[in-house]
Amino acid sequence: MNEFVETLLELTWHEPKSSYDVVIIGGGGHGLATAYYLATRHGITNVAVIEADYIGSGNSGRNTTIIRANYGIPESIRFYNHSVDLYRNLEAETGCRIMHANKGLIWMAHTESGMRAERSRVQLNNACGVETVLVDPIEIKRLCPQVDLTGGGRYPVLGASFHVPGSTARHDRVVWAYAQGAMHRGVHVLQGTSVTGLLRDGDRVVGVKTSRGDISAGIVMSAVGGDVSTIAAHAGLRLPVRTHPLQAFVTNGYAQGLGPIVSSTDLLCYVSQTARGQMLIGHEFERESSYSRQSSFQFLQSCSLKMAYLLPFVRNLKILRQWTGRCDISADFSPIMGFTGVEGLVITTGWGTWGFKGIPAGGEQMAELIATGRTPDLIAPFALSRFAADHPMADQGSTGTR
Amino acid sequence: MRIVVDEQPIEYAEGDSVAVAIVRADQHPQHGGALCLAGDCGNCCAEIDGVAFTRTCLTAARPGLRVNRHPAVGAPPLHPDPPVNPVASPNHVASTVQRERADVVVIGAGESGTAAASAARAEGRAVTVLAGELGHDVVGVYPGPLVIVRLADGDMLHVHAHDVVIATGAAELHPVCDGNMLRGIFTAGAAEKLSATGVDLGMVATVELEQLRSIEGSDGHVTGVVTADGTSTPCHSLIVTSRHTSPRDLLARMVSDPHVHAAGAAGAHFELPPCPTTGVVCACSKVTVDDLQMVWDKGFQHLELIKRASLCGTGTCQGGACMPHLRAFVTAKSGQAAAPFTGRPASRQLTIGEAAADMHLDPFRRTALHDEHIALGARMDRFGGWWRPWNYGDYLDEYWAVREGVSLGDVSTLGKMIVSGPDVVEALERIYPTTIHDIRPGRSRYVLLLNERGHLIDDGMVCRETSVDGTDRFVLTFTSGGASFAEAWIRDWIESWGLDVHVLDRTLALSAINVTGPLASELLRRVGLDEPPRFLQHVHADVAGVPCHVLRLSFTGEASFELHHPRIHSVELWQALMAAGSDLGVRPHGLQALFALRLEKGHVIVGMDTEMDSTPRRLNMDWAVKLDKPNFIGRTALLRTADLDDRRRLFGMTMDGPAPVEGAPIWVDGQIVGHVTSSFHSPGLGKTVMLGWQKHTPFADTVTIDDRPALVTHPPFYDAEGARARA
Amino acid sequence: MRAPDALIGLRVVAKPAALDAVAAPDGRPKTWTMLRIAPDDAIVTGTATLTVDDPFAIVEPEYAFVHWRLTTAEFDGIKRHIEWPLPAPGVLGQGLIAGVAAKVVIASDHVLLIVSASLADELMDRLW
Ligand SMILES: Cc1cc2nc3c(=O)[nH]c(=O)nc-3n(C[C@H](O)[C@H](O)[C@H](O)COP(=O)(O)OP(=O)(O)OC[C@H]3O[C@@H](n4cnc5c(N)ncnc54)[C@H](O)[C@@H]3O)c2cc1C
Ligand code: FES
Repeated sequence: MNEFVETLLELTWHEPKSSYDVVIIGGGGHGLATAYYLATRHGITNVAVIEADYIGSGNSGRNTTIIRANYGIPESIRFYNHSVDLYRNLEAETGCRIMHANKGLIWMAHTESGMRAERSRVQLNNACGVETVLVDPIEIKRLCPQVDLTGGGRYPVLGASFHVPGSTARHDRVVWAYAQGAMHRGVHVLQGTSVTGLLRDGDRVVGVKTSRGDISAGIVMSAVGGDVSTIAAHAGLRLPVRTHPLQAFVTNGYAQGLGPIVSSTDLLCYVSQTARGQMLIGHEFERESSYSRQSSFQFLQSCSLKMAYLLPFVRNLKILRQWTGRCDISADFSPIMGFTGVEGLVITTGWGTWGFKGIPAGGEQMAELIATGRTPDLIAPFALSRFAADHPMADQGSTGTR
Repeated sequence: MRIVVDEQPIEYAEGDSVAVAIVRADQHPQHGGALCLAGDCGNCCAEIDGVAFTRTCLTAARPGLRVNRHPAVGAPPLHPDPPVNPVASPNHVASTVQRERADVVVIGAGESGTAAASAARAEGRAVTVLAGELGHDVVGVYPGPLVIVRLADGDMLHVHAHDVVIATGAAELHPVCDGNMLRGIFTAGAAEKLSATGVDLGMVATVELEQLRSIEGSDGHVTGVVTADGTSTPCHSLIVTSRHTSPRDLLARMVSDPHVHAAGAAGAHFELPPCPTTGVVCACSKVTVDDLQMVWDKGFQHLELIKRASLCGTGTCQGGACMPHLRAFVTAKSGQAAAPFTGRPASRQLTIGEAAADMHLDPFRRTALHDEHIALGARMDRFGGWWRPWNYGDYLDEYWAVREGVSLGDVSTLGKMIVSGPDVVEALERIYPTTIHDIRPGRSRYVLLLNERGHLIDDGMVCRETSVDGTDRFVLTFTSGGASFAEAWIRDWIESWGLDVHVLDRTLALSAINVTGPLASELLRRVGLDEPPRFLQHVHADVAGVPCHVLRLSFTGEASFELHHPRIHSVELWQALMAAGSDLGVRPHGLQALFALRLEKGHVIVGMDTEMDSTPRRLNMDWAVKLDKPNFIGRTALLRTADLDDRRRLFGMTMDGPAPVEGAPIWVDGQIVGHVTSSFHSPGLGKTVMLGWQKHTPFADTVTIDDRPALVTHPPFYDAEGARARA
Repeated sequence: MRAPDALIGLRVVAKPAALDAVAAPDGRPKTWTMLRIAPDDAIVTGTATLTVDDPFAIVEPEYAFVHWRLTTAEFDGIKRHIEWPLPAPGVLGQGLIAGVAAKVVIASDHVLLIVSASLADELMDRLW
């Protein structure tokens, strides 16, 4: 059964020390990937990743695993495209099976304004070297025979963009692949340890207070997902980030049959079939901001109906489980990476409902920033200072399918 | 009476569940594994009438019912579409929902459930009891609390309760040892049910779970059992009893709500069984004790990590059968009591169709002229929540009708609002960046609506009414897509400022027809509007006998008159205009033509040409902002950013040849500097006109789009002096 | 189901106290029906004119709505589409019915079901 765990995965745990060169708060994908790239690309291994619960317990172990680069602004397309490339080689690089599968992603439009958005996406993606093609209904039917082109008579499909590199990977195996790669090289991962405050020397952050005692650090990175406002507050920082719940659900496992990832701008929902044959289904985040992780039946009702409009065959599938994550949604729907203006504290946040795909590139770039003390070009547009300069990386239209 | 299992008929007895019928035929609903016949495990799941993962022990046998066993290896097949009525929404074919309210919902009709129900009734509370025996399959308990139930006939029941008591009792333990996936293994409770219905289990051995060493079998069926002391007993069926139980607490664990309580065994402390040493722990995901050991040895030593790495507990029964054994394993290995993992809905699985039952998405609005458009051959499209004509065949014909003759556009979807009150001028001065107090009665002014960040969120007109009795009154208009947001936005601000202003949204009461083109005045004269208002004036007058509020403006670039009128008179007004203008060549235009027409004038469409961060400066609309006004929404932000270096601007562009696709990148020196937001190859101007963003400085005068040069110019591209609009 | 009828009436936005006074005219018999949508907002049917003691009151003919006069049995047939508690007889209730914003007034022998004219087709599709 567990052929996937067998492939090289082995987590090695360490006793905590009282001081590290780098302390990373949050054992999600972004925190662990940063630790991994610090160790592998920069030889920096005196690093601790501090995780309040268990690794991957946040959104990195709760997402719908969609990996894509078909964004709406060049800065994002380039960043995510790099991440898509890193994902493609992650299995070879780490020796861990992350169950990466390239399926392509159909993004359907049901109105003229929807078509306009998809045409525009196709243009810009290709200009930035990302393969996304405009497809007509006949081609959609060929790519995914189950699609109801009439949309249940209500959401007729006018066309779609087809993002060729669209992929999925098993979320917690990505977390473990980075964790094990980092741990093998001497990075300490401390589970069940919450950061409760920041150690300060004047204005400078010099370590963290934790539920298991103080730990000093040359530099602290916050990678805590939906809890970011609390950590930032310890440094006197206010971020343009709000926390919103995002729900998803999965069906039982069926024989493979749904080829590509299918999503719809109008209905704001999407589905992919996992390696276990489950349909993994999600939609937009909850409008009310909250820290709640309670699942609602209202979500299940409306998301189910949306899926039934697009892919009528799903109606007879049994829902196995639904769950909720807490997403750090930034004011411009793009991530925030880099220096904070507070010395000794760097941040990666604003990953919202779209940050799983950004884990490799986000980790790699943040590792470079920490190792060199300079912001790499690829993530310079995503600096926190963009908000004060009124240069947001606004791209709300691209977050629809996670 | 027969059901059909894997194409083979099987006889059943009155009252049999499908599982009982199958066992009666000495078969197994799957390929092996202990059966509880109580809904706690996943070992009886099969495909029933096309729905896989259906618990056969909870499904009553009925004549002709078709059962397909899940394959022994791999997953059940995905079936192509269930029949769809192509015109009905999918919820029309799903089951329906019954709704109830109760003071107290008690789930479970056992001892503790009955006690809880009578205690609540004694307090005079309305109680609803939900129980499997009564045909209720409780799917989940959600915040509210809201209890979701599937009924025996396939309908759904949603119960809103004040309190929920979960009295679901405890489940029997499944054996975990070598051979536990053979056919012919039953819990004590299952055996009791079977004997009550007269099923012959053949030679039976009964063993306590704690005494069980292994189960022997051949051809997949039990042949004997070996107990801890090494004795081997031959048997055809094995009944496993246990002094341990497992609380059925999934429903209680899936919601944290002070109004949801577990009662009786479902909430009681219980003792874990012995740590399993061999066999399959999780039958749903086929996870063995060896698998657990392996992930443990690899450092996955947290219950959640073990679950995720081994998949133990992630199958159909959601841990119902395996959780006690998994916890026993982790507790034994770690020396610390392992808590159960988070409970997540759904408890008894429902189909996507059942979840969607009687659900509806946002409705789409129709204007009063919907049927007129259809009759005129319009292709309707949804825009901003409304059905609107996209075109009536050929949008270029419509374009020419506006430019050369006269045309009608249905603009009923525009937001319209009446505001009045002693503080109305003050309120509008604070809402809009333009000056309001100097708008004379009978005149109107184009306005932007900004948010606190100084970013454009909508635009429209402010019309000052001629005062009848000294009270001030304005009519405001908004874009179709922005109307409902703008209404809430304006009400919220007025309320938070505490200003004395009345607001009435007229969007749905009034339709609007835009009469536009050089012959528009002529057409209006013919239907009784002898003195059409001049540019940026507005009047109240009868047109074709219909009382109208006539706004003279111009979005198309030609003289335009918006006739706002009672919705109930729309068809009559439309038909009168069409008839009176037939010799003028009047014809309707849709959105596609409108977008092209306004582009020639360089008018932006909010949300299409603008972005989330579009300040007036970025749109070259500083003229519509009076920063010297003391106060308006967005002023602080605009003052702050006025001094910042700005690298974003919307430009007009022209080029020869066909129009690039909207969204096409704009290149300067081999770099993408922005994209085209609107484009149109104008047959009137003989060239392509565009709007698009440059987001790099210095801004370029010529750019490359589609490998062709384009010239940056200032719109309007058409009738720059506005002579035609004012004509 | 039959097509709905237009709801003919006046829409009045005025100070709550002024609306209260209209709702209960002292002594005089009331010839109209007031559906109070909000404290400062009401639909009045059964009269073409109305005097409101608020110089800034907005009184306009209302055209936005249509209505069905349902028999109690007809209403019972659609009750399952209503998730919210039904209003007391004579009181205006507002909420989603089959996902469409609507209003109901329950009388002893009939029920008024009121919806925006722009959504009437959708509601009919969903209910019947
Ligand atoms: C339902 C759902 C579906 C999604 N689908 C997709 C998708 O398809 N594609 C995609 O790209 N993205 C998706 N996302 C978004 C994606 O999951 C996240 O953006 C991404 O996982 C963020 O990773 P992270 O490492 O920043 O945060 P997380 O994974 O949330 O990790 C943060 C960690 O910090 C820990 N922590 C918090 N506070 C403290 C503290 N004080 N001390 C110590 N530790 C702390 C938490 O326990 C947690 O483990 C989805 C999200 C959800 C919820
Ligand atoms: S036998 Fe049906 S659930 Fe256990």
